Amino acid sequence: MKMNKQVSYSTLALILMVVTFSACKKEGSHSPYSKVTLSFENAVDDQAIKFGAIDYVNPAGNQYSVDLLKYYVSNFAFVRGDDSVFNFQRYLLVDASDSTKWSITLDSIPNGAFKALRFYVGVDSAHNHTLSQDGALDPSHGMIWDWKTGYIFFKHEGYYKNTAGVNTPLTQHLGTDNGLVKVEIPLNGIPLDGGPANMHIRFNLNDAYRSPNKFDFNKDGFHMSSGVGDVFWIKDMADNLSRSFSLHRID
Amino acid sequence: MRFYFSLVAALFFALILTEGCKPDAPGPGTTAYKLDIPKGLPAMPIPTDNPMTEEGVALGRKLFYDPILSGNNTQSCASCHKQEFAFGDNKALSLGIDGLPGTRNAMPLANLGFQRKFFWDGGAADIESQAIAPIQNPVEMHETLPNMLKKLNASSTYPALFEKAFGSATITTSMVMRALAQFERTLISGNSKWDKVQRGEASLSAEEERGKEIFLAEDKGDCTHCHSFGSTFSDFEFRNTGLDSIAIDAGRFLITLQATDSGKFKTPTLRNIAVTGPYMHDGRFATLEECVDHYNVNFKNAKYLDGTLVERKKGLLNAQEKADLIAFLHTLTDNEFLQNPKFAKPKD
Ligand code: HEC
Ligand code: HEC
Repeated sequence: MKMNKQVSYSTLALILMVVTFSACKKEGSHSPYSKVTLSFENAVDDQAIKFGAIDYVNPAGNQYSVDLLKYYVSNFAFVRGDDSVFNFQRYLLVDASDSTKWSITLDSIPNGAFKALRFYVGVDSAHNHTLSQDGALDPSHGMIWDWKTGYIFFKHEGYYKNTAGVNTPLTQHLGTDNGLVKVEIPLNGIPLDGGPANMHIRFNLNDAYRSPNKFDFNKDGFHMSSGVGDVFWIKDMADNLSRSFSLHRID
Repeated sequence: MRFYFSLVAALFFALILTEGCKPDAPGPGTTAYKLDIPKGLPAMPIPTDNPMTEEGVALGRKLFYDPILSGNNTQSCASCHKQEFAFGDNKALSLGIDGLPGTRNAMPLANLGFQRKFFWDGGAADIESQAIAPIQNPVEMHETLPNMLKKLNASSTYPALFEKAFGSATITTSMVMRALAQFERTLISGNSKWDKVQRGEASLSAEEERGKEIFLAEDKGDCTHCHSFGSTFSDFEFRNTGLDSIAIDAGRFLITLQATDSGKFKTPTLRNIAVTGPYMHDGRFATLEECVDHYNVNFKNAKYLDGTLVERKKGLLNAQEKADLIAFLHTLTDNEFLQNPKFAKPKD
């Protein structure tokens, strides 16, 4: 036992030396903190998003277009291997049509091996009941309702071909406190070692209509989180959205 | 130790990096605005991120009367909220800039600062947030917020006024909201005949006195049950008063999506009620007589009808009692409020 303990101490020392050494090798990576850029990249299955064309088919088999795709991502948290959590109360409004609005940089994350990245699609209730806010939450970004205070968390607009083959307006506006979407992306021990990292998060729009609730636009093509038919949809849509994000690559 | 240090550092950075945060308080060199609350009204809570200043109130008043906030520069807030009608409209449904009617009656604006929810259905969560709804509404001022900001920022007068009030000449949506809200909080009505009676400066006529008793009596008007007798003349709760057996306008339901809120609307104040007709959320009643008749005999047995009305017998009031009740309601008119030059369109 005693022997073993000694061995483990020296192993530990060795590991520490190696870690320190390798950390020193990389340029500009002396810092005990890392800076991570999250980039939200949008797709429909493996197709890039092209606006305005009825080019896509959802899991229910409806043909549809994307004329507008915007959503809030917020309150990011990195979960380290030792279960410590590093929170960033920040808000990003992703606009799929404007690549300057896809990323957010989170600085000063203590180094380590990370288990998971968490964030929300939407705005927490503490910030969802007033519109007198600046930055990403400035109400002039077109993500609010006219008739009630609150942010539209997720907005997809376009057209779909209905059963008669007629192009029909498609409106998917998710909001209200019940519609806040929690996303957790496993990071499987990815190390942050003081250098900058860019995590490319892939949002698959078709996943929002796939599972566990397969939405047929003939029935669910119009939702504004404000009517009788929206009560269950809000929950179902939030469930789907929580499974629509994945880590695509890191560089 | 190290761990805690990292944690504290992370928290610290998380704090300073917070985006979409509440905007900063007033610009330097502003003068605090002293609210003049008549005796009998409660203290008014002021949000910490929008303290009242002379500069902010003056700017809000200018904006309230300025058609620059509408899509074709023809309509201001005051087009539908007119001081002579206690900042309500004398039309059942007001028209927007495209000549289209809305679906609800323009609400009078008095004593807003004592309320917590705005609109007939309470859809607006604070006065600040309410202000941009009519600007964007297609059947009202029909303007986009980005275009509104473009016009204000390009104007020859506004950037300097915003700088004075909020410390920055680059106008943001939040500054517009805060200025309008500051002005609206000054719209306090508490000098009606009834208030003067409370202060011992006047007395009720015999008819008004009988009307007051009917307002209070459980087996007569029982109006006080919802339009709480006293300072604000409403508890501002949401209720279904049986205007329709099946609600045409779902009201509060549209906000909460709770079935039990169908056909519920905010209990409005009865202050200045004699000048704020037409009445009810859709302006369906032209006169106070029709309102009283509604409670006396005409209310319908809606599914979510308020409990006090479910139990109410019909026809409790005779013609004399109805007239007395209406005479009392007239004592709630505050002529000083309707004519206060501080609330009128600013000269310049
Ligand atoms: C076209 C007419 C119209 C215009 C213009 C208009 N309003 Fe209104 N206002 C209304 C109507 C109608 C309502 C009730 C709406 C509802 O409940 O859905 C209302 C309600 C309100 C309320 C809620 C009061 C309460 O007791 O809950 C406030 C505050 C208000 N308006 C302020 C404003 C301000 C500030 C502006 C200018 C930026 C403005 N209004 C412009 C018609 C108008
Ligand atoms: C159960 C609660 C309740 C009781 C009791 C009640 N009211 Fe009301 N009152 C309301 C509500 C809620 C409204 C708004 C209804 C709507 O527009 O749908 C209202 C609206 C009114 C209005 C129209 C206000 C406006 O600005 O358009 C008048 C006038 C009025 N009530 C007078 C009375 C009188 C007089 C009594 C007693 C005979 C009375 N109320 C009893 C809840 C009540």
